[in-house]
Amino acid sequence: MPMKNRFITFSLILLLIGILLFLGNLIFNKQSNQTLINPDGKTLLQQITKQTVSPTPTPSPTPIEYNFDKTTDLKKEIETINPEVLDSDFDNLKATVSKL
Amino acid sequence: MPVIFLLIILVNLFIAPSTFARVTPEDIYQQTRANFENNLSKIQDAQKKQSILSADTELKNINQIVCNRFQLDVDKLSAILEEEKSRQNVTKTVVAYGQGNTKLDTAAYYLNYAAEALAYQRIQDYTPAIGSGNYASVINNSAANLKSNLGILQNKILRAKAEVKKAINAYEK
Repeated sequence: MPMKNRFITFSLILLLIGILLFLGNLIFNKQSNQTLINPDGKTLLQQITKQTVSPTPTPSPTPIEYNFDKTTDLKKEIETINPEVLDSDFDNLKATVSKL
Repeated sequence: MPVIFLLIILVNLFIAPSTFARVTPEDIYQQTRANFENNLSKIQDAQKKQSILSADTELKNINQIVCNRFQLDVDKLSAILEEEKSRQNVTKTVVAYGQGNTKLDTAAYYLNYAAEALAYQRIQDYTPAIGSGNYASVINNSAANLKSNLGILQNKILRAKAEVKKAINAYEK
């Protein structure tokens, strides 16, 4: 078989494969669009489109205006800052859990 | 060889790239809440149900209460730093790769870092994953997770405080 014919045959075969893959992909995508899929390919989040919930808005604290001036002892002011997570913050939760 | 090359090109031309729905934090939140509501509806004991609901609310409240407290600390640190900057007539903040040109710049960087961490913590969700049955254990896990995250945030604020203190000590005699 001459080189030219061989090339045309191969091209046609490849074109056919391409068309088949395209059609297959089209059908596959139609099915997969019914659910949301995460990048791992696992089905996830099937229900979220049905009903969504919004978190209850919680009020932020009113910002305190600090009126520092040149006479303020900043070293002293900085020592008053003491961010802490207290065990007492979790007391109510512990009481609730103890009922379970 | 050219055939293989052609094949690769053709395959790439015809196969459309698979498009996946992006899973956002909002999607995860909605899914977690849906699971929670679903599992909650299966619980027959009304008192138990109520306790779980209270615990869920309590977890949210703790996060908000502690974050509100931290917010006041960050605001105060910010006010102190601003006052020091005005005393030194500094109007710009230049920071690159976490290292400022001056101690004031570095302090501003860490303060901003703490403020961002606080904003992030505020929107975290600690809905208990109550599917497994041992409700107390599941809620305790959520509480431990919350406490750990708040502890990390506390350390970030303390780091910001340390940097502001360094800056103040450098300028205030």
